[in-house]
Amino acid sequence: MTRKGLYTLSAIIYIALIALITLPPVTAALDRVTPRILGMPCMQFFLIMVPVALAVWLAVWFLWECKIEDREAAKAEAQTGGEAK
Amino acid sequence: MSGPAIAITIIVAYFVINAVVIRLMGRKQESLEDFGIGNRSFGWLLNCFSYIGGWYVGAIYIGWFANASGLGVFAQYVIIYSITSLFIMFFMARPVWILGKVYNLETQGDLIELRYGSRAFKFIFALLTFVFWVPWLIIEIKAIGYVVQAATYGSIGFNIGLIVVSVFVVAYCFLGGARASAVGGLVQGITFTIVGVIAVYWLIVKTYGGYPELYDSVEQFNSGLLQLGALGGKYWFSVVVSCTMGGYIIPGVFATIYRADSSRAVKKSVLIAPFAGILIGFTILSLGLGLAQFSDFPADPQSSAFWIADKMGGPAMLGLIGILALAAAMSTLSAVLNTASLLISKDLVGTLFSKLDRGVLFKWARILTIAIGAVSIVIATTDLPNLMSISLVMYDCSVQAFPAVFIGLFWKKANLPGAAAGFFVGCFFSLVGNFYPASIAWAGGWSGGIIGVFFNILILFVCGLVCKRYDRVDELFDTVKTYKEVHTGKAI
Repeated sequence: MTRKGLYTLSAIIYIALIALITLPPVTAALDRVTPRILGMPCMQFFLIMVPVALAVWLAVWFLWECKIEDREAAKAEAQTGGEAK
Repeated sequence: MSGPAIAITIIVAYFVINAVVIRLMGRKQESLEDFGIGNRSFGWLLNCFSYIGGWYVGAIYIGWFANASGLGVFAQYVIIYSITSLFIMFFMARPVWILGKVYNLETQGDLIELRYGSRAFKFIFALLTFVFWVPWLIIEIKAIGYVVQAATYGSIGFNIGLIVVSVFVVAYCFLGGARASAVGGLVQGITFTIVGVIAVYWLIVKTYGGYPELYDSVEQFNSGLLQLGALGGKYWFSVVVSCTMGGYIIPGVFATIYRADSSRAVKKSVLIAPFAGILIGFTILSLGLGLAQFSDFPADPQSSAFWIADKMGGPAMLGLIGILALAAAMSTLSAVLNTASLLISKDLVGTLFSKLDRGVLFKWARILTIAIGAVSIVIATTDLPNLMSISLVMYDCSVQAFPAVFIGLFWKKANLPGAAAGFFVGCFFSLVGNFYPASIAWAGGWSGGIIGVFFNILILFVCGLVCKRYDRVDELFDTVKTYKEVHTGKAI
């Protein structure tokens, strides 16, 4: 995947997760005490689940982008080396 | 040893540790770049914890804690926008850092001038963002007064505590600039992230028996605390979205980006900062969630974190919660103070008197550190409303900087007429909405900040499509695209 593709994917994930927790019709449906999910009241679960999901994706995004950058740098170095020869 | 003596000893010992570490890791300040952004030399760990230190405020142990006990899970909006703001910082870290490095940018105003080519817009933009953002200084100084008074059983008065601690912070910011602020943030950030989470979790177990028991007791006492209820819907949306946009746009976030030795050093903080943020926010606000059910719950809920610490752990735990709250307040205070002095010196004084050289601006920045600190301390000694209410108004206003900065970084057609007109219209709606709420009743529950940002973005896009774009914009975008970064990988 290219850097641009990765950023687009991240933007989609970000908007989807934020929408889940902020859009009035969605939050109205989630805003209840029962059912308990993983021991937490329903709304509390989503209030924590969304930040955790975002945090995990941020870490994945960082590591993925590092790989892309390192690959691009190696490619550029190989091209420069090739030209020098 | 009496209770107050134990608590005071713990707090004083923590101050000594702070002073020693800041002194040992500090460096003599020799230039404006050094003072304001640490010569762009901070490794990822220093940058990460100084960011955490600057971001997580002492008021979370006071105003937010009080709101957790009164408004329930609504107070957890702080956890959500902290993470979502990090996302936005991640998006913009690379272009902001590269433009900063190549064009020697040190403030958010510098970026505005570079992007839109107008010193006048830079001046007004910097002035308004300063006005909207600087109340954090007063909030945090006020938080310090609460903490010292509550953590010492009132044996040290509100104003005395506020003055002594704030003067300590002003002094190390004046002497050590951005580096001292960051090192302080590192010590303080580690304290309230690691020690804080363990201590507050212990209090949850001791108070309720654990998380399941906490939820059971809250449900029995007042199940409304576990829902957004009347605070949900459009109001909830407005608060989360305006805090997300306004939170990332504060000048301190730009200082964090410029201080790093590469954009990767900024981004690497996402391996720690969001997880630490969730743990800090979730434990503190969960502890506050069910406290109102106790019959001896204090009349002033803003002191309830200290009340429960003393009730469950005695003076030692009270002193510990005291240093956690102080750590959070001091690190934010130092970060805001350092950035604010640079902002006024460079964006306001430097723009008004363009012939002043950087040596003179460096002296201005140092003097302003003392001046801003002194004025803020005086204001903090006056009566102010709940700290969380002030912050919500501030975010509603500072969100108006979002379109000009963020969209301007990624959309070439964004231009000066659109950015300036959008910004002013947005600020108008934010101010009117907050101070004369009846005037925006037609909006059906949306906040002034959200209405303002809607028109702000609309104007930016319309002007971008209609008016001519800035001549140098291609050069700036090419610079970001072709720049080859060097990653040192250093931690400090």
